[in-house]
Amino acid sequence: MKIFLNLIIVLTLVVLPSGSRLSLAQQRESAQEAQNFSNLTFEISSTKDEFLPLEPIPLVLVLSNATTKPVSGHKALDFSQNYVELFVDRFDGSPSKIEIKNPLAKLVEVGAKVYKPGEAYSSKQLITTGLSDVLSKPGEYRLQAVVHGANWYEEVKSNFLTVRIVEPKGADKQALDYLKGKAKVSELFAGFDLSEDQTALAALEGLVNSFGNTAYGNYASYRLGEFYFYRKDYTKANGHFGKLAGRADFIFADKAKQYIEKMKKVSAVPGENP
Amino acid sequence: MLLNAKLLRLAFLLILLTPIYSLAQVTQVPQGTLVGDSVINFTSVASTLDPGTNYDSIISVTGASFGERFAGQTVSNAGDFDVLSGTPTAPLTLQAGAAGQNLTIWNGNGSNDIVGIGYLGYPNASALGEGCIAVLFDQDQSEVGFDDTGTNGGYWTITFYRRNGTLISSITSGGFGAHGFRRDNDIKDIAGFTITNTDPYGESFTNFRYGQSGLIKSVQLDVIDSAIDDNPNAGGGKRIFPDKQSPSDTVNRKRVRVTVTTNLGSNQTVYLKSFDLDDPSSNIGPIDTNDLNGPAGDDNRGAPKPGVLSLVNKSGTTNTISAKTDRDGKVQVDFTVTMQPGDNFAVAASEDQTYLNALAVNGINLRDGVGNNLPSRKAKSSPMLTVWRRLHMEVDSMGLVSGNSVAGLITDVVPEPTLNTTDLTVNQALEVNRFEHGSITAGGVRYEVVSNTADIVTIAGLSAPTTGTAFTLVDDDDFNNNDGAVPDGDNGEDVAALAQTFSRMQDSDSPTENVYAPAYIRPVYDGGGSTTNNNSNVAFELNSPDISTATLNQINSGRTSGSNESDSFWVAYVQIGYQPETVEDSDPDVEDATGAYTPRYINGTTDDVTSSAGVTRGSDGSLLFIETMRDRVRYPPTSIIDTIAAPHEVGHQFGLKGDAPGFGIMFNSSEPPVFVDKHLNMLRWRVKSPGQP
Repeated sequence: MKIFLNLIIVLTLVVLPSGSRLSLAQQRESAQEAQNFSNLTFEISSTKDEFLPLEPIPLVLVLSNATTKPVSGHKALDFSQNYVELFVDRFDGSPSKIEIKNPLAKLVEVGAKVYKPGEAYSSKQLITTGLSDVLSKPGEYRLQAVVHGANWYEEVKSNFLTVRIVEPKGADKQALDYLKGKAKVSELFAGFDLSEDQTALAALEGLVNSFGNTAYGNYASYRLGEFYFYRKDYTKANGHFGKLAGRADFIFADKAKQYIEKMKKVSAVPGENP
Repeated sequence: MLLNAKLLRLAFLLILLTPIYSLAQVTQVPQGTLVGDSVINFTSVASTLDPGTNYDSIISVTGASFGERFAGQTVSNAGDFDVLSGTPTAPLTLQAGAAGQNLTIWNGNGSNDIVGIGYLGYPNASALGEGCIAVLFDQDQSEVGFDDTGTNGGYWTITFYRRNGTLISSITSGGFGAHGFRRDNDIKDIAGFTITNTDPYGESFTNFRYGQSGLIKSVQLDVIDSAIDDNPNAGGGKRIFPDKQSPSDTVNRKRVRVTVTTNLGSNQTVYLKSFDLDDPSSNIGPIDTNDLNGPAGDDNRGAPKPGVLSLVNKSGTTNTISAKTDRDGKVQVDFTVTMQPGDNFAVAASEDQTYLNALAVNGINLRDGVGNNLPSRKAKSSPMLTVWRRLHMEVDSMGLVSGNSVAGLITDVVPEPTLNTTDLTVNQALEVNRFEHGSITAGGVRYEVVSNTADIVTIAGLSAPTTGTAFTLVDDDDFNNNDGAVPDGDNGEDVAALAQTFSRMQDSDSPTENVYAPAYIRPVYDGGGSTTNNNSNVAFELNSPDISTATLNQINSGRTSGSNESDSFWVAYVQIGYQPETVEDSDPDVEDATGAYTPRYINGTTDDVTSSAGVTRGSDGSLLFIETMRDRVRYPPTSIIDTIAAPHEVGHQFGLKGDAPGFGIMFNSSEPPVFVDKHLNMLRWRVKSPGQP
């Protein structure tokens, strides 16, 4: 069983409080005194608990220090950094690992961040699924994430997150039927480059045009906006991001706003690279 | 006594003495049946008439050396004659006798003869010919011979030894003239022998013959259109690169010429067969999965596994062929190898087809139907021939660094006397602590930055610019380590690979210099087909977005070797970039360090394959972040990310997944910088150029 995950953007930084004056030497000294990584707390949550089959599932990952002493850690919570693993089960005690498929391979060496008491770091990630993945079938599931320490062999397990996959109705059902007819459906929302994959590009365009208001439409618009932005087709990119920037219920609305801001700078300075 | 030898020689000339004692490991044969044609007759050694030229040290000539005994043996005497005792030590090593008790070269017989000197010493006539002689060959032999030029009706004993000093057998015989000896089953393990004698007047010898027995003398691999050199990997033998030498190369580079030299004479049939030898690089899966009962062949990855034999300049379909000898007794055919790196072969030849068909692979050797390794009297084998592949590298780099600074106005200045620092509030949004170890220049004065928040820069000391002063901030970026104590953010410097960037994937056979060598792959820095492809001025990006489309855009803005790729011409692409996304560029030092990006195709990587069909597409190219890696190796200093990034990312281009513990160089600096067996296996299964569907 496979569930395809996509890297997204680290949105929230709760690192050094404003005004902190820790020098590097102090930080290193602090690192030497800090407790082991396994003393950190790891929590996962989502924006809702019901999803449609093939609908991407947003995850908010929070690594925090709930102790009264500094703890050694890192900030590598982005799925593309390879320090987080995800598991799913159907409350039967036999979890299976979710294969994380990242469009971009990264050679990562994590930094030595010391979490002060009460300090936390969070990241928003996205799970995308394919037709053959366990999360594509209606039912109730438990998700758990494991974050590994810098040496990998220390780890912290998260809470269990319950999600329900429900049967779609109406336009959502039509959109799902549309998706089921497309090749590589599991990768459509995953962020793979579309330059050489006109089939996938057309599938996303078709989804936005015909089912833009369904649960799938926003994710399709986001992927297309990102694709066109980096292809420097700012008119199309702006069209997609413009629909998302004001959506409070869309997890990457703030990122869409950032893209729009960058495009404004481009138009203000001809020839400027955003 | 040698001086009286001539008087009695004729009386014994026709006496044919049969061996008195033999261990049946070496058989005395008529010298005329020996195939080996190498002869030592001492013509290059100074000699004289009686009593001959005395030599107190080892006499070395082409192919062999001569002394009194082997190390580990002792010499005593029985009457005037030397007697040898003791067992030679390994490796078999010659020893000279005491001064005046070693050897002479004597030409009183019309030839240059070697004479052992007994304990009575040179030039005592009762010593000349009574001494023992030891012979050590440079290479092991299966047959030897000599001419007895000094007998007077007595006997000599020849004792054969292996290179490790163990006894093969001993033969006592005698008689004037030619003598020959052949190792049973034509085993080639005679490293040397000793001769003692009890001839009444002592002995002299010349025309020492040696060689390998059989009608097939040798099977040689010769160049057709691809060079053949020594295989540096396990098992040795020879190596061929069968791939194209340029993108437009249309020559078939997969062929070698097989030359069989025989003693058969002309127009005789020679049978040849090629074999898939055992993979000597491993005896376990996933590299070599069929060695459970010992090293076995049939483990090549290309097809057909044993390669193809054909007539010269013809095509073939099988691994067997026969051909007639030419007037020199030679046969030539062509052999075509597969394209998979690490595939290895041998070609055997025999005049006996039944014997040839009974040959089987025994590790990296061939053995006959009764279990003896080649070479045998009836068949010879070529050296092992192993396939290597080239990986043609296009290496581009971004142009001049620009924009690596932040400029604005200082809006507030607050001294912190207790910390001996000053806080400068600025009107620009800053990445927290990005500028540690950097500098801020304001009013023409440069100040050292201790740390920074989103809008406050803390500088060392209490001397500070005033509010309202314009400033320029640079961080500690210094990819080529040329800034000294004055960081300049590399602005205006050309991004380029450093000495260490490709230090682990050099154009080298050494596994420490080329981590692809154990996969039988050798990088070539030829721009992926033309050095004009290498572009050192690709558009500069201060921080490259971690988005696949953006990364591919950056790669494709430099990559020009893509059209050169084919199954026979592998190309990989690396672009030297500067930094990844700001949250992973190691500014500040404690931040995560991402050394490179490689955009994947869908299902582009994996770790486990059992066939070429399972090998994933991989990727077209990679971006390496030279400045972030430089930051990382400074803190912590144990990181070697700057040396592993290139081979790691090219590994992704080959379809290797990794990026988890247990994958060596395909994880990160925390593991040994080598490819694990799973990945070596996958590299060797690959058919397509990296990134090709």
